[in-house]
Amino acid sequence: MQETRKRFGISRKALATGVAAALLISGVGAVSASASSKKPAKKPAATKPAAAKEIYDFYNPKCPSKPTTLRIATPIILEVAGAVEQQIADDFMKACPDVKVQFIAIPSNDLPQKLTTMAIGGNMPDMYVHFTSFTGKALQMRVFEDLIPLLGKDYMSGWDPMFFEESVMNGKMMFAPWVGIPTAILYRKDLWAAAGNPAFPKTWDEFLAVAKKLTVDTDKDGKIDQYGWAIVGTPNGSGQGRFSQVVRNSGGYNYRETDAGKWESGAMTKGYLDALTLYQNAVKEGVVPPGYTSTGYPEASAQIANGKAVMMVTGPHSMGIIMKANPALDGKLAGFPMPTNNGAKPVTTLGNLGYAVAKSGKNKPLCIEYIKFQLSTKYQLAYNKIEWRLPSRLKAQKDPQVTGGMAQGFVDALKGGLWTEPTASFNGSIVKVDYEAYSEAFQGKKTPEQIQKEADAKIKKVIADNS
Amino acid sequence: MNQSKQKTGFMTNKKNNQFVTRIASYGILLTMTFLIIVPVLWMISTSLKSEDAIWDTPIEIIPSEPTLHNFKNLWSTHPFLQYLENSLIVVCSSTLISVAISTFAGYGISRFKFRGRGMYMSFLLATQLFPSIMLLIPYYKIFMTLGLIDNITALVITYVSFTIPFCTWMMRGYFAGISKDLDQAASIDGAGRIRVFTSVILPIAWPGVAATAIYAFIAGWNEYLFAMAFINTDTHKTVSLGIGQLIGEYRILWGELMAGALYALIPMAVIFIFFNRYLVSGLSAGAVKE
Amino acid sequence: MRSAFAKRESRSGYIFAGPAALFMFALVVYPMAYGIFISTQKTNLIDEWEFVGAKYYLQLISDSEFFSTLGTTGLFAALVVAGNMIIGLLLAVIVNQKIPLANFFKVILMLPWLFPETVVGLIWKWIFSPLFGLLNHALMSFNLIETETDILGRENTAFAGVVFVCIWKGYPIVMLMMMAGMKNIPQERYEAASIDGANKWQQFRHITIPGLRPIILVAVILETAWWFKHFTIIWLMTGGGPAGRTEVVSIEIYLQAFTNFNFGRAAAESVIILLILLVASFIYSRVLRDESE
Repeated sequence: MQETRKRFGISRKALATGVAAALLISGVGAVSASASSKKPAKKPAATKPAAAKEIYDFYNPKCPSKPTTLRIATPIILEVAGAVEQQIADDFMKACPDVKVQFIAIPSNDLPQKLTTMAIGGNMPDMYVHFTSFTGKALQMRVFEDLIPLLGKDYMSGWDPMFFEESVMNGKMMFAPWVGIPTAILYRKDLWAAAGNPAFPKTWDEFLAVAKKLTVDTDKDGKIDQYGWAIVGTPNGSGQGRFSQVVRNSGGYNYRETDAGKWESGAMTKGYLDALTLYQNAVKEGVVPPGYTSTGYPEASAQIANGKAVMMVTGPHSMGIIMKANPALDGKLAGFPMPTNNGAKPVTTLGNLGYAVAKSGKNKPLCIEYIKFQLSTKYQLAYNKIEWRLPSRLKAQKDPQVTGGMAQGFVDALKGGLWTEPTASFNGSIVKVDYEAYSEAFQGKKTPEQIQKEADAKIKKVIADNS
Repeated sequence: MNQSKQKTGFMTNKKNNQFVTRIASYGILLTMTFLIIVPVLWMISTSLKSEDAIWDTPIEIIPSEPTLHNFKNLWSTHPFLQYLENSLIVVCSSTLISVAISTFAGYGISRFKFRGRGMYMSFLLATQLFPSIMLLIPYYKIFMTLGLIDNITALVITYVSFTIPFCTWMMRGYFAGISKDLDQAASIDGAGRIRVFTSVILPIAWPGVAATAIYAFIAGWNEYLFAMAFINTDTHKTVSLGIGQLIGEYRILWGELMAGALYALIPMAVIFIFFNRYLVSGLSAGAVKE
Repeated sequence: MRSAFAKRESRSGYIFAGPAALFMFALVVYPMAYGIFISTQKTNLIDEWEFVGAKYYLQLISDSEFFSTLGTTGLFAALVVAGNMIIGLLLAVIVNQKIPLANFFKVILMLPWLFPETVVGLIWKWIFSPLFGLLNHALMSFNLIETETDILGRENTAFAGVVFVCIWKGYPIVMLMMMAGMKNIPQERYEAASIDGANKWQQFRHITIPGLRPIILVAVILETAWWFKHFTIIWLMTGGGPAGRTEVVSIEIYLQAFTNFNFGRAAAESVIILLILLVASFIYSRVLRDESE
């Protein structure tokens, strides 16, 4: 947690004080109130708490005087929530008939390479979807426009501070937070009940024990057909992100920036070792469905959908995706905060995303109109409804639709605190070291200690190569 | 030794051999057919399943409730016909250009001694040795300068550049197998170089041209990486881009993906079967005397 | 007289070979020069350029992991090329016999070539999938295995699985090249050999193979280049895993360039591959040419 706190500390200092004050005040009453209140010393004494009020329940955009095309690069349009994104665009075009919103649909696998190519070719779209995982790259390419002056400081106060903070680097707002997906443990309520409603695990050992309890032969044919944990074990970002969650919730980290501004490996931390051990034991104990190394997100969520597995480390959006596959699960899904080890506080990631405005764009004022329109409470709730993603704006967050029901556990997960992946330019190489490490753990030939040592050497080498 | 006895022994031996060869041939062909047909049938089976049937366990080999939903849905949610049209335009143009240029080049290299001939072949080869992922950015810059981004012309040019080296090498190999006596005979009759080529050599080289064209066609039809980089607008997309869109971060629409792959297969299969007939008919014409 | 002939020869050569050369020159020389240039730069390719000389090359030469990636790639390419050549040649010979249904098989055998690599990679991943896959289902229903096995998830089977799929996808083009090449071998040679009492194997060794030598050379060189650089199928099936067991050099380059933004290093790796493949094709052409002379 230290390094993230430090990073926010720096960025906050760099912010205009007024913005900082506004955002901190607005934290009161937000779902993330307790998370942001972890630094009470920095909290300014008092100004008007009314600042938290959403300005635009429905924003009426100012239309341009001449026909304009707004190009937006997005992978969302191809996913379940694409319907909402399209609806917003259609409504916007209705409000401003001279504007043509044109989506450049990019499968998320291809997003980094397409955006890079466009940026290098000097042909960025007006806006693009920014994921937190893209932050390091965006910083290196310097392709984004700072949104704080464009949106105005008043507008900043409408954001949940956690969302806001994550979008700001070195005092510049890289993207306009739209929705988030706090990671927690998603589980099948019905299957949980069938196992006699065990207590929610507080430690990873308990988690493994519960997973074992949930691993059963339901039809008594002598063959296990329900597993405790739908582990995502593919060697990619989606597997590594989940592994990192376990590492962080065991008090460890993979690498971080020291106070001296240098990078250091965290692979030798107890938490990193614990995570590797957990992954290895989960396989040994047989609580994960076969095929864990090639189980990516789509496969794992399918396992939950068809009852092959009960728990999954993921965000609330998975409920939308799982229910798309199995609508009968309405009301039968829920989440609880991550277990921890070594006395660590449960922490989570926000999985924040939103539109970024390209620096090279020619329609920046219109982009701003579009962003305000798109972040209207109405659409925040529409997105939430279809995929359970947490809206970024405080007003929308207060709606009972958001906090109630199946998403409750995920909102609770935020109370522990937040961490963000470090944004070193070589982050991709570290991600790779991580996924190679847990892949090794799955293979079971090396002990977690051996794997940990190898990972440590690799991380140190990556850091050395890049300094 | 009794010569006739040896001969009969040889004959039965030969017959046996032939029999064994036949059995072995069919054995191999059937094994291969099995390995190929099973995944294809599995694709068809998957394309006929509904989303939840796909994730059902134990899996259904033959869908119990087959549905054409995926095939229909693909047409209604994506301009798939437009994708097909774009692909056909891009790939037919690039195939035509590439095969024409390469047939010329292949003939030139196989027939004429000119300075730099050896280098030329190495150069063509060298273009195939650089990882294509690193070509992406310079290509993008070139097309950006030419104003061809989001234009299918960029894809035509790209695919021509990808297929020329292989096509040239293939045609050269093919021409090398055609006796030079034919050229010379025609030359003596007074025909010019180009006429010799177009009226004497090209007709015999038809199987080679057909094979090369099929290669160029398929390479273009299935290309994804560069199409992904160059094309933005939905109405300019090719079929392979359309299919790639179905591979999402959170879910892979297996049914639609397979339906899309089958749609994409149809024009190719038609063209392939059509050319394949020429390949076969070219067999007799291609048997050139030494 | 002689020099006039040579002149005409050479002019005809330029006329025929010129268009291809011009086209390729424009579209390949610049990108390759660009690649070589950025291999000496620390750059984001937009506004950050810093000359670092041979830094990335030195880094790579001393990087044991890069060498192991090269080793994996070499083994992968060798197996796939060998598999493609053997199966492609064998099938070409078989369907070239005048046997019933040869044309039918010809079409079937070409099918894998018609599918996009993305579809091939995904469909096999799907077939290999332990829970939802056809293969495990079949093996289990025939009681060949007790529990699901994760072919792409185990170190010892993942590599074999990927190689298998790449051969599945790759042999048809070799088969086609061989078929096209065989059409140029005069039928009389076989007839003559047959009268002389040569069996099928002898005919194959002494007529087919020598007749195909030029096309085999082309096939081996290009196949090596293609599979050494191959990306899509492996990326989709294993992403380089498990534990780096199927990580080929194209995956490394992709990750360096597009997830790490280390374009300099990615370009240096590409140049090294270019050099390796140049040497390999030089050796191939020497070996195969010497044999034929």
